[in-house]
Amino acid sequence: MDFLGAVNRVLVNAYIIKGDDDLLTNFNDNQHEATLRVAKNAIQTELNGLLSFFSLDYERAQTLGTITTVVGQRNYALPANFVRFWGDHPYLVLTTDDAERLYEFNGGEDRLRRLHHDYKTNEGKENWWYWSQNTSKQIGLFQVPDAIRTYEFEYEEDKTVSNSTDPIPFATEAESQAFADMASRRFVYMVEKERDLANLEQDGEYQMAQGTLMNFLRHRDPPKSYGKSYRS
Amino acid sequence: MKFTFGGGINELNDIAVSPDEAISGQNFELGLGNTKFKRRAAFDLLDTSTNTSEIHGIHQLITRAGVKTTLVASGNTMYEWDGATFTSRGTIDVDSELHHFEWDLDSTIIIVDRMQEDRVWEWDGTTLAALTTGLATTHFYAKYGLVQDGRAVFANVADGNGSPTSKNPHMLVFSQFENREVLDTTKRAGDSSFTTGSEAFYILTPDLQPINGLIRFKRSTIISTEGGQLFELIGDDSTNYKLEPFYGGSGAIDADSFVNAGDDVFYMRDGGVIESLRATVAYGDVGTDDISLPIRETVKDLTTARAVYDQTNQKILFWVGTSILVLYKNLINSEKSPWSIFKTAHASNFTTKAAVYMELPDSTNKTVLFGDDSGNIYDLNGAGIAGDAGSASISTIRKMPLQDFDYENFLEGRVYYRRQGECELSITFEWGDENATTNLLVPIKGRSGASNVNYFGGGKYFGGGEYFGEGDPVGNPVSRGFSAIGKGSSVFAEFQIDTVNEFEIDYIESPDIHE
Repeated sequence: MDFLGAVNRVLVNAYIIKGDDDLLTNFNDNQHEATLRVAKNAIQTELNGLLSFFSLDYERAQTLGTITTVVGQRNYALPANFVRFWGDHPYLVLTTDDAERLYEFNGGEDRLRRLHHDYKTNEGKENWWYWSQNTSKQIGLFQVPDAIRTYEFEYEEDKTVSNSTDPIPFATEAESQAFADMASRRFVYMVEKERDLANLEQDGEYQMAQGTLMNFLRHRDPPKSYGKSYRS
Repeated sequence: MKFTFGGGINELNDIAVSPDEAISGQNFELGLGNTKFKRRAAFDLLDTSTNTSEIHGIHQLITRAGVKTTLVASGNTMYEWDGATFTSRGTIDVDSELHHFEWDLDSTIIIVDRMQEDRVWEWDGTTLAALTTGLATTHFYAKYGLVQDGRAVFANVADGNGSPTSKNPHMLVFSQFENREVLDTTKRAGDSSFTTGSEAFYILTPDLQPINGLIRFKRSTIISTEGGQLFELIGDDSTNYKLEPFYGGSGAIDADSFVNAGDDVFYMRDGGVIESLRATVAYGDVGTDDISLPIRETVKDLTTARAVYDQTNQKILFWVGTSILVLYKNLINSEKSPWSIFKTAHASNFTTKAAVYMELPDSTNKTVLFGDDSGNIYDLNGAGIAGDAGSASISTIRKMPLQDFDYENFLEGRVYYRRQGECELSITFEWGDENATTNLLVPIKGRSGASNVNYFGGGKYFGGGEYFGEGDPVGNPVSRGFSAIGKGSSVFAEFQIDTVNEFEIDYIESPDIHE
């Protein structure tokens, strides 16, 4: 399911698309412009909530990120679609030696600054990385590299949706449908003024769709010896 | 709010008019009891004259034997036209604007010229010839004519020889009783020499002003003078005919704006106002006479109108410049505006010197024919399946009165329509307090083209391969939704469809707009 498909599901669920209406074929069609905009926002808001809350399988980058050091350069840009490193205790690993790993400097740049006043210029073999605050996501290396070396790392990609063809980041259609059903309830709470959006979490339909999605997402089956009621 | 479209254009204000009137618009059709948004019929191009010159007269003779002939004045030639071919029947003045009246006693039509550039002609179904008058003058000219009490009556006349040199614009000339070929411009009505009452005679207008209208009104024949008065013809023979004051404040303008619409006469007076003679007689020259009051802004600067009554469709058509003001007779006494305005994107531009209600040459259907400056003849009430003259898109617009809105809602709605022709409904919302307009497009589907419609029941049951839901080709109601960005304290909604196709919108509903 792509973003457009999710929008269509939201609009059909809310009885916006009915009668002689066709499903939307693109986001430029302005017949349903107002509801289209709200539906997009509802989906993005729901998705951002999930993405920020925990790591979806779909987010893991299928290719490793790489950083090639430059002599005397402290900061290195992460991939444009980088959201966060994958896994706990993320590290960079030297491509030529799997045993050489750079872990995050405990305490970050602030602590590094206090311990090593010349951390910005002191060159040598790099041992740690730290978050370098900038307008894009970057990491700094300490010590500042004194040679060219290449590191790889695992990370999670940006899976937010903006274009109509962007996929809804779930591995199966059923998961995407359950997610779109959650977004449908958010949409209803956004457009119907008699509903208070703050009550969305208590909405039974929303909870059911959310529960369905979570059941789909968890990585183990419940014991088969237990009955249906236990599964739900 | 449920937008329906039963009323015409009402420019008086934006708020206190009926919600189903339009504060502006064009090309929409009206009708008693009709509340739909539909476009006018497209006009058809019927034929083009051989010399492709300006059409300035269209005439028809149907003899007592039922033989029908149609004449078309195109440039300097009068053609006989049978609907397919043009045959020259004579030479005429290119600057004339020709009208005719029937002299049924001898199965002829007599042709007069509003411009007084050309003499009075007669057509007997075979020959176009100057009307025999018995007058000393070589040529006899008249702007108006009709038959009254068995006599041919000519008004605003002139003598001359190739051009009208001796003009008597204030004169009415009456033929001898039951003989249109004997005229007399030397004896007034009531001349002492008259003995039988059948003699030919003339009458002058009481105010000696030029005549600019000659028309029947109920049991009377009315003349209008440029001085702004109406007179009624009284009498029954040559000894006692006279003109009596009928109404002193008419102020009628232009040479061709009078039209008889059955039980009423309409005409244009100073200021472009279109008056109802019935109301004028009954109530005097007060505001309620002004049938054009709802379109005051449109008509205020007009000085000319070419009026035609389409009896079949109960419309009174006023050709004014590049548009037609359309008065729907059935709506005159309703509480809604009876006016629409027809415009066209076609090159003819509704500019014409000849528009007439009559039978088509090749059928007995009556319609309104009009010509353009390139020899084209059109049927205003065309088949309407491919735009004006078979090609030009028709832009149909209705801007609805101001409606309340609030900032808590965003605007949603549905368009309920019948599948006729595929087109696109453009809706423009003009937001109060926000100085903003937003536009959206609702695609309107055409007929599905399926030859069989699957109905609910019998062998066509709901489900399986026979799904009940898609719009069908027989015009059952369907709907499409829309939602518009923008908010405001109030909103104008304007609906517009530019298409060559027919469409039929039942109503447009938006629960968030408050009437």
